[in-house]
Amino acid sequence: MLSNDIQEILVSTDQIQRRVKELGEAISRDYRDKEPILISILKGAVFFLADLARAISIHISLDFMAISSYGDSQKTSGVVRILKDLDETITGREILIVEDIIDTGLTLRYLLNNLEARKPASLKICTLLDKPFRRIVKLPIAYQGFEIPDKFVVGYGLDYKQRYRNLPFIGVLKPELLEDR
Amino acid sequence: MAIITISRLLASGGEDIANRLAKELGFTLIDQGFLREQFRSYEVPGLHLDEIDEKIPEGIQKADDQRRLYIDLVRTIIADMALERDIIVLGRGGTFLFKGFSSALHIKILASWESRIKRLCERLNVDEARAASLLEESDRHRREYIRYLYGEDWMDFKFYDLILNTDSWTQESAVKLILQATELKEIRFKKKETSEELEKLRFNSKLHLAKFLTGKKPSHRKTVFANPSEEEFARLLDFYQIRWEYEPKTFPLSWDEQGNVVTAFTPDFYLPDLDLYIELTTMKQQLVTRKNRKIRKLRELYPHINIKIFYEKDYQQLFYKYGLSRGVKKEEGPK
Repeated sequence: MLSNDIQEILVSTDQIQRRVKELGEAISRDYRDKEPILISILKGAVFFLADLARAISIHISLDFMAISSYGDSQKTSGVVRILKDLDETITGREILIVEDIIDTGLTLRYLLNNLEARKPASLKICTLLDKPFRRIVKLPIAYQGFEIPDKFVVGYGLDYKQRYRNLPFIGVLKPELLEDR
Repeated sequence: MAIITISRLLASGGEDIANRLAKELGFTLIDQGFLREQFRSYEVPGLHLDEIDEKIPEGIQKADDQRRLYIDLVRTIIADMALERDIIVLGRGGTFLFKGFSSALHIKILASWESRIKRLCERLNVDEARAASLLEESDRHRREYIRYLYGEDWMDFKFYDLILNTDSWTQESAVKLILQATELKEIRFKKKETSEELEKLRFNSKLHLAKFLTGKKPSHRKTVFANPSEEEFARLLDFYQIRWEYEPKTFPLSWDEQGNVVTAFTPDFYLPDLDLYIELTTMKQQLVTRKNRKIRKLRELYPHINIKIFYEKDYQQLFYKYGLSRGVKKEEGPK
């Protein structure tokens, strides 16, 4: 069983569902006369995006980006680059970036710089999890699901070596399953 | 004095059109080969053309320096050239170098995917799958390159005066169309304004170059790190294009009666864009306690300093996050 690998549940399925509903209502209210594009970063944030989008009651559109990971840079070297760009132009549009977790803020800083250059009407951040402890780059977060402590979490899109994304809750992985421990 | 810039998709026939146009008009063609020759005669220390010319360099600290040097040098060379004669700039982001110039005509040359594939298969003697992958790579790369250098979208058509689809026009008629556009935009008759714009461009570029070359330590020097975790962290920052300096400043923490510094602390990294110092610590708890004491003192004495500490646990989690199979557990001595 997948859940046997979990030491503790940090955010339960019910808590996630309730908070996603609240975030959806807040976004619907704040963007009521607008039609924002929700931009999600593959792969982790798609679980959150799918639930959030259905909790929003105004017109929205969705788009996706994928960027190379530092983990892969060990093989390829180099700097972060866009593996999948947006399908639509975003100039003059209201943009809401939907993230699963903000930790150091390094990835998001790169994306914000990249998207700002395309001159959207507004650019805001919505993250399910905020882990401020190791934040290197300060970021303005407009919508935040939960602030979580300094623990390595998986589930609801978050992975360890591509596993555990399909857990329906956010949990802490048993330390013995992390390598080199 | 007149400037034509040609931006082209790979295998759209843009090079051939540029060459024919240069002959017809008697303009000097500025392409990769021409610029490379010019770069040699400028001998700018610290510029590694192979690392920058239509490539995105690895490592942003180096990259930022290289980008500034490259843009300023290209501007200087092309402005020098354009002050003396009429030019055609093929690629090299010429459209964005001369954006808004009254005597510039900006051309985009493209073609359908199918005809580009066909042309590339013939030119390189490869199959369609290989040609498709080369085209995809080239389109993505050129787009990223212009975004990296100028922050603009290469495929945004608002930057171009004339967009030619070589599916619809033969090379000969494409050249004729551009010749007509050259006449209609009267780019050859704006000598005074052009000369002023070019002088300004050249002056600013030379000023930047001079400031850069005289005022800054070469940052492409090889940094020697005290331990592998610091080196790995620097690579991570490079990856996310965050500029960093390694141990740039030492903060005195206590003094003896004669005013000599007795203890001091040197944080590992300074991130100038974020005004943040970072200390990495992957050492034993006993030594961490001593280091924590120093950092507390640093915060008392220098309250305006922003400093963040990464302990071993943080550091390891950072690397689990990126799916790396190892954490760094190397012990280090006190600082």
